[in-house]
Amino acid sequence: MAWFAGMGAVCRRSIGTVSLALCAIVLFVPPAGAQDSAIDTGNTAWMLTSTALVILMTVPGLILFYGGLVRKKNVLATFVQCFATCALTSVIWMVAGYSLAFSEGNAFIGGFGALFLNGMEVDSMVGTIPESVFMTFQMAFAVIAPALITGAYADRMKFSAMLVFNALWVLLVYAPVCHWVWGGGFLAGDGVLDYAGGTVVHINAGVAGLVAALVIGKRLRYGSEHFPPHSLALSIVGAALLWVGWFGFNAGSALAADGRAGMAMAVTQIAAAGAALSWMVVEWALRGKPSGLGLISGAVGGLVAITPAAGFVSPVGGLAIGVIAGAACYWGANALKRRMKYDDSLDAFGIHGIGGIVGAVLTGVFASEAIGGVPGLIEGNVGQVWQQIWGVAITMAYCAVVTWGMLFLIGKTIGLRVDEKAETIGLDISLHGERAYEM
Amino acid sequence: MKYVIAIIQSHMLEDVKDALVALDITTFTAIEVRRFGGSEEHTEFYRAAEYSVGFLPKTKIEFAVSDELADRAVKSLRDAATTGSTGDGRIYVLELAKTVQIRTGKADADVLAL
Repeated sequence: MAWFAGMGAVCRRSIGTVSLALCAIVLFVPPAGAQDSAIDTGNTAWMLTSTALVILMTVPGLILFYGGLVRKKNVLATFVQCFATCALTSVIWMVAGYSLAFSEGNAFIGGFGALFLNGMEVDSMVGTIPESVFMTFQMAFAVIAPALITGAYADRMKFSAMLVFNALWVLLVYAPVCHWVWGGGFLAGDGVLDYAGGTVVHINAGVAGLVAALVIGKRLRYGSEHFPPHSLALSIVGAALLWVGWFGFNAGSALAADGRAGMAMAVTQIAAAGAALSWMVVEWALRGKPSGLGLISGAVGGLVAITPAAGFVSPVGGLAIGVIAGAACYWGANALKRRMKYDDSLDAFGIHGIGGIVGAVLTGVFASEAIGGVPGLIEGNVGQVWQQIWGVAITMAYCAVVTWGMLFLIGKTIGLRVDEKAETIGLDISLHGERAYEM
Repeated sequence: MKYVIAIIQSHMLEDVKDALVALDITTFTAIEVRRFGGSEEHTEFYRAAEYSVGFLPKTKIEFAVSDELADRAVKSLRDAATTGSTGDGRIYVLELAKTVQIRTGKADADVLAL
């Protein structure tokens, strides 16, 4: 999805591909197919697959990852938060989000030209794929961002407040930042690199999670009572699904089935592996045991960090980003969280925020001209690091301010938090009238 | 009649079952429990959260037995449940007033299968 920044390269490549494809059609395919020749069926097939993989990350990947980490009395509430977010965001994206992110607008936000997907016909194209596929791929990204935030306020937020917050957040935070980077907005114009959404999705969601955790406050009896995860088995399965789905997230962001997509896939696997191992080694050294939760947390941190870098860095760069991110996320979910004393329940900021920031900055360090057309610090382009820091800073500032404002207003009107009794009983029974387990 | 309650190491349950069956004690109940006490504890950590956990998983078994068989049952159970390390558990023997079989309504019908 560096499709804006890398459009020139993509166009040159696809002209070559299309002319080859045309030759093939002339030689082997009946003329009836020729009218669709602008669509690259290989690219389209991969993007259809990628879109499904990115949806898999939220349902069921994130659902299981988060659901396993909460207490038994809040399992369904956590599942339902992610599931409902998936449904709600899809509709919001169809109605207005896609238009605000990708239709013709200004440098800050898109316009209203594509409300209700107006103008998206069966033969509309983005690059070499149908616009319908591009729109749904982007919808899957818009779905996972607010779903990630649910980890920060798990166990205590009102369901109604969560729905209102997520709907507003997708329109007022996600869509603009998405437009800045991928929709023709000012960050892409400034040369900020974000291949698959390290800034748009992960920093954005991580910072929103931190703000939400601070505004809504700690869980009752946080610090005095033990809150062990009710099923790390579910969490490990969920993290494994996230890992698999991430190939759609990153290798799909080329919007093509080409060499750059292949390189994005390779570095995604390498960075996830490096980060899992680096968290494991740090934890083993500092605490005496390599935990399963640590291994999966490290892997997710590495996947987050390689997201902005995937189409820009070499395999060695990918390994370095993974190893650094694993250790950095360990720090984010441990020392930082303890020192700052906030209750980011499932470490939305500690892993997605910190991993996203580390990945965004290191993209400026390890970018390779031979891979993505842009050199980084190591190839002598010091300025790219500053571009990346600028992208991180403006996203964090905008996201924090607008997220805080929304939460403030919701808190003053319908209220953010369930009452003490509901929280003590558990959200499954008090909010949804059901239990996850009959035992 | 006596009612015997024993807290044992969970992995000794099969050995204990075999020992009781060998005495023709063929009906008993086992349940997984968490036991607090003694010097046993371990540390669990989940990212930033780290706890010293005093509750340890054990298995509790319960059965009724005739007065004549009670001492042999207790000795046999103890032999089977012993590993020699701390945390092997404890056996409690209570006086039992009455048992009623639900299907037949008979009181103390078959003392070997109480």
